[in-house]
Amino acid sequence: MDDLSYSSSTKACSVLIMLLSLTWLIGSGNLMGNQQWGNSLTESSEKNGERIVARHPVLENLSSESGIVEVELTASKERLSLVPGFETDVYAYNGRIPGPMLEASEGDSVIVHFKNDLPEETTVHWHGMHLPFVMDGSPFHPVGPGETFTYSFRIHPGTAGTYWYHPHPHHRTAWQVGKGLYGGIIIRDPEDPLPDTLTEYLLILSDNRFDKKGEVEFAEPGSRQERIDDMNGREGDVLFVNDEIMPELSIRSGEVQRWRIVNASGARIYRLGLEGHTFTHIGSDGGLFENPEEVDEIVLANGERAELLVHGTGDPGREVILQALPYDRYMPMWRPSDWNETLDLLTLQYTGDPPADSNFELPETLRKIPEINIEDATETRIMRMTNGKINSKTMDMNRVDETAELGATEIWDIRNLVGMDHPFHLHGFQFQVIDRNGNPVSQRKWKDTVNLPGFESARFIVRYDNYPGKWMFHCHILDHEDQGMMGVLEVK
Amino acid sequence: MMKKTLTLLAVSALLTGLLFEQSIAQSHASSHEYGSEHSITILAEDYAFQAPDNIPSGWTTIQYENQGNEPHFLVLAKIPDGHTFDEYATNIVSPFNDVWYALRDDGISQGEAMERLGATLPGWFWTVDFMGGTGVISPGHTSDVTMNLEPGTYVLECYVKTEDGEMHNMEGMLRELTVTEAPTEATAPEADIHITLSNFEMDVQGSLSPGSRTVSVHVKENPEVGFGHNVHVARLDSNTDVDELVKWMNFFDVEGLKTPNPSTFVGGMHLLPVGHTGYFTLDLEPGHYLFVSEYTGHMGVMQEVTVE
Repeated sequence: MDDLSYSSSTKACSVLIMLLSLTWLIGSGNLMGNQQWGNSLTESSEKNGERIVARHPVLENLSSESGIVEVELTASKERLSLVPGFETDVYAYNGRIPGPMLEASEGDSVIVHFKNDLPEETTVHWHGMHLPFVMDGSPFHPVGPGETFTYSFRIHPGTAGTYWYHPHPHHRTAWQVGKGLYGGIIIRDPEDPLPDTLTEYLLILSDNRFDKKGEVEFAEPGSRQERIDDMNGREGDVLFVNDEIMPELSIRSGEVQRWRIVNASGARIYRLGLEGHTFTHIGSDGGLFENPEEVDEIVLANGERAELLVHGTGDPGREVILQALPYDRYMPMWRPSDWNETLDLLTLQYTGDPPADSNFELPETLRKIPEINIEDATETRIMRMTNGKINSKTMDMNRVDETAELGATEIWDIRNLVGMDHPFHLHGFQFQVIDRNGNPVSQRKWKDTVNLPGFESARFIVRYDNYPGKWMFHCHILDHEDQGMMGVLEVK
Repeated sequence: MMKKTLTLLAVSALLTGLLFEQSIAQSHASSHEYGSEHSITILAEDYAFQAPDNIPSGWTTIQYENQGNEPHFLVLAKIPDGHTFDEYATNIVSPFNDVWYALRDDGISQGEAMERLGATLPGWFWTVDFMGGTGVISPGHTSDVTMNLEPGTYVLECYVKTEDGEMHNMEGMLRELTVTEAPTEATAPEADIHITLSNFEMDVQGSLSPGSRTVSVHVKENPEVGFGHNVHVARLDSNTDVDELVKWMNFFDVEGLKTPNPSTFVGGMHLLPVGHTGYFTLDLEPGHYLFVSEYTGHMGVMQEVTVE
């Protein structure tokens, strides 16, 4: 990538920053109020030359060649308004929080020209993607301040789903994500079993904490708050859906919408409920399920994704709230006093239009998920998770914790030995959970993160296809990851 | 004797701050006519237990393996009916931690610490039955303990401290164990060393010669106030400062129970109700040992033993 390209990219960033500032001015004055600008970013549309998909600006594809998605991504220090009435020093991708969405299709080759304009090392980790080790954006491949790196990878068949990208520098992930570095990814399936006429929303959930001046607040070193954040992970009291606080989505009575939800919070786990509504749970980390599941609520741990169908069963004009219901993920000694408060995330506003005649028919089978045969497993790896450690060890970049052969099928037995949730994430390879606490799961699903509530266990099966390398496995509470609750699986 | 007098003086200040009285658990049925083959393994690591969730009641042998890099012990606390593991964690462990922080960071006295505990611990804390467990066990060491466990909800706990002075239970070494009613016929082990704990003495009798020994610990009396007696066995070498070791055994000392352990700990029996007897195994090698009580060691409940 030549300098000229970055120069034009920088100009684009400036325009985006101006746009963002303007939109916050419109929406300012009420911290928890609905933001006006958010409503205009619905469905696929164009705004100021940007393509907007699922409420997100999309990284512009610089390639005109079919099957190539070539984009520019810059991480930089910015000053943005995240909460009305305040400007905040942040880190941002292309001047935005969340970063613009990466959209690609199965079979595409993705090329990301990344520039690090931060004053510190960073990486871009493509969470959940099956790609070469050097492209994983793990701590093994930091990009220094002022440096560039071109990430390139192919989107394998069967990958279609919701993913996200975020930094993964050793010991600095919670800080950099907390400062604003995260963005969404949608991988399309040309043969998607669901109609593209469904309104689609990508909802990236995050939380943050601000001081009185509106700056992102991290605990003082040595303080009690730091100790709490070390144990629980850093939670914030301001909840964002994408770049908005309590946004308003629109639905017509009778309509069916497709929601993709990402938990980008460093520590908060969301138990999602939409009052008076059920969800049709159609997919998770690695894309669609085989069979849809009707559920009242969804628990989404850090790093996990969910795909839902929301059925507009309410009357015209009705207003319902998507809520984060109380979820006790804590050891009792560290449980915050307000843990059982229900928090509002967004308003789903029914239009005044008369109910639509929904001719949508949900397929009984969304797709076939190939079975990884348990008889093929050649190894069972036991992972004992305690607070801050896996198998009694903290992360050492010079140590390989597990070694496996390329192409091998193995079982991982994840055991949470302590009384709080730990979401376990494996890089590079999607896996299938076999059982939880000895009880078989209801159906095969592709996952890259599995949450382990306190004292619980789960086993998953995985095949190390295609890509040798040193793959991270870790707790996705970012503070825990930074403390070293992480290890290395070398596939060779 | 001088040591005993001094330590008694030291602890009297600590105990005068107490505004409460421990309700000492009454003696349960005589231990020796019951027994079982019940045997489980509990692994300790930094900072968690690997343990079963449910076990049958009766005489139970726990093989306790410290696979961590820090010293760990095991406390078995039986929660009174009507209370829960969660309440134990929030209403007992948390106040202890708060008081510990005040000792560590704010420099309050041990007496003030005890006063604060008295003010913040719920009344039902004093009806918790501490049903044994292990002494401090050094990293890499294993200890077998045998106790008669009644049905109920128990807490497995270690409150040794990290190098940074954080209590292990706050780090995660706190786990629920349910003991269910079960018929049992096995008997308690035969002991060849007998320890009797009383106010304020530790009497050690029996075969103090090299080899694998089974030690019985009988609690004849516990203090009217404060916490009870227990036994921790430390192997002494020429560099061991016994006074420092006894000081280290005191949780309420700023350096007390803090990693690293000042000596090699090879066995012991944690708090038991009055009248109860528990057992632990001990591989004795020629040398010097200190048998010392955690809370009351500095009051003189200890004994130096030479194995020849």
